[in-house]
Amino acid sequence: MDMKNFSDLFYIRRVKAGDVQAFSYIVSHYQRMILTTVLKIVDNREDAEDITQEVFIKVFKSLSQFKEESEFSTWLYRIAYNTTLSELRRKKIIFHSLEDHSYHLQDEELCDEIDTLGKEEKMQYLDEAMKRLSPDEAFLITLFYLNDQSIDEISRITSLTVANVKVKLHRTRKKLAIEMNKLMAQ
Amino acid sequence: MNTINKQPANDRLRDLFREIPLESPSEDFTKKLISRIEKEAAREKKQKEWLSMAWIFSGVIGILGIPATIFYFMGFNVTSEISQGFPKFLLPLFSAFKGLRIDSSVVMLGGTILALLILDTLLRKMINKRKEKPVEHV
Repeated sequence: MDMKNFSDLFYIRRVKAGDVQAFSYIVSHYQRMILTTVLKIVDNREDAEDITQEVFIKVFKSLSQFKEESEFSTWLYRIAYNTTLSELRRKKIIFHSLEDHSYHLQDEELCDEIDTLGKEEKMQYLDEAMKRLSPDEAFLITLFYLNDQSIDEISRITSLTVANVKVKLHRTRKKLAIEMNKLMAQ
Repeated sequence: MNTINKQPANDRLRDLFREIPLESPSEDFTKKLISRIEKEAAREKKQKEWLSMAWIFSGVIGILGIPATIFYFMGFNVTSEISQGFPKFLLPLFSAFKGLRIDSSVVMLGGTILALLILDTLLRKMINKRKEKPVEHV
């Protein structure tokens, strides 16, 4: 067990024992990562903060169900994934995701031009391209690249099979590269 | 290590994601969230209290109601003077006792079971209270 998970467990046990204030540790430890992940899916910051709040409320409510058999972060991201997708459905936020023709496309990687761009410009293109993905694709790729979750962990978070996660990630990466290249070519 | 089939050696997307700065929530985000959490905790506590009261109430109803119902359907009559002044729904109980030959061993057994039940409830309550005490800071 690593130190991060050890300290998570310490505070989780305190919350379970009735110390509500200990939950602020969990919030401060994960809020930036959850908010950044959600902001990669929704445009509006207010919506992203609302969703992040819902995630933490659900985590608090379900904490008694956390059996300490898996890593806390995996369990938390599982709630974040399900809550984000269901909140998006509930709020009826419309996404203009691409139709999935990527099966027929050849492998495409980001073109060299990306290296000539400034950080702000790169982030802008990435944000725009991410918004063209479906919410679950955007969440999946963010978990993989930004949160450094392994394929096995993503499989547990999303309840998809390992093979399915691999296929989805491969396809999403291809779509993202295509969209980024398109945006840079404009 | 994370691996995807056909993952390129030089993964530019990964490099790009690594450059993403983590977003900080607005100033009142944590305050608002903790206040919601506290409300939720208070609501859960109240709910638990109501639930335990409901359990106690149904227990009492069960203890009094089951024998009363049995005695009532066994057809005992209310003739005892002791029953005067008690609520009507308790009358079958007194009428039942009138015709019963009370065996001391039965009373002892019943009393022991009741005492054990009360002891069990008290012990559980004590253990739960001890568990609920917050752990000291390290």
